[in-house]
Amino acid sequence: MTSLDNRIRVYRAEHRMSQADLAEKIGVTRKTISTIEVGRFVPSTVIALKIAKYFGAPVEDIFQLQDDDTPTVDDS
Amino acid sequence: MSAKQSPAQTLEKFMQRTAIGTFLLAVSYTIGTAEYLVSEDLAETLNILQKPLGLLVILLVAPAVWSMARIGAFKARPGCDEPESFVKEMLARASTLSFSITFVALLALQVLSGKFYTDQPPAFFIGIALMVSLYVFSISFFVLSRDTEEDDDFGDDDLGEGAA
Repeated sequence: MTSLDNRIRVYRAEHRMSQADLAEKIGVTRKTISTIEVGRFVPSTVIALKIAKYFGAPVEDIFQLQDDDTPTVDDS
Repeated sequence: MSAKQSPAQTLEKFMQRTAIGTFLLAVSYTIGTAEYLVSEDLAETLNILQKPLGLLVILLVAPAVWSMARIGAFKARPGCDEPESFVKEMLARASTLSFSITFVALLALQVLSGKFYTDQPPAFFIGIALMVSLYVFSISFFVLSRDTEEDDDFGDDDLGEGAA
């Protein structure tokens, strides 16, 4: 089953930020950040892009699909 | 919590208060439905107990509605800048679950109303259906949106560990 892993916790640690700090910066609540981090809540594209933009990182560096066998256009 | 709430926090608080208000309404419907089954004296006592619950719901939800209005959440272009949130999604899930179970409860009541409590008025069975609906919505919302995680300040547990 495909799941969405993320490295928000790592990025927060690098920038010495709490969940509440990050939540405030991107306009969500701490609970939303907390549940994204542990995989209970899959964020919208908007939230994912906001987080990536805030950390100045490509979104795929922060969010990765695990066990995903979706073919690419090159495979077909 | 900081002195000034963000729009996202205001929205979350509004949803939580709405769920608490819904639970109190469910209790109110339980009392109202029980009135049909007890003696007249006890029914009068229950009726007295039921009234403050309505007032409590208003006192609980009204300040949250006012806070939502202050951030412009009811305008065409809401001031709340949270595109979505965990709590909002759990509210939607609780609503869906509540709808499904209410539907099943209505089907069950349709069958049972012809066999049990046949002397009761339709209001009794409508009260049961509403009670089920409100309890399922509020309790499932609290269960789904419970937060066991504490803020870990700077996330300095283990830099090498990916989340999830």
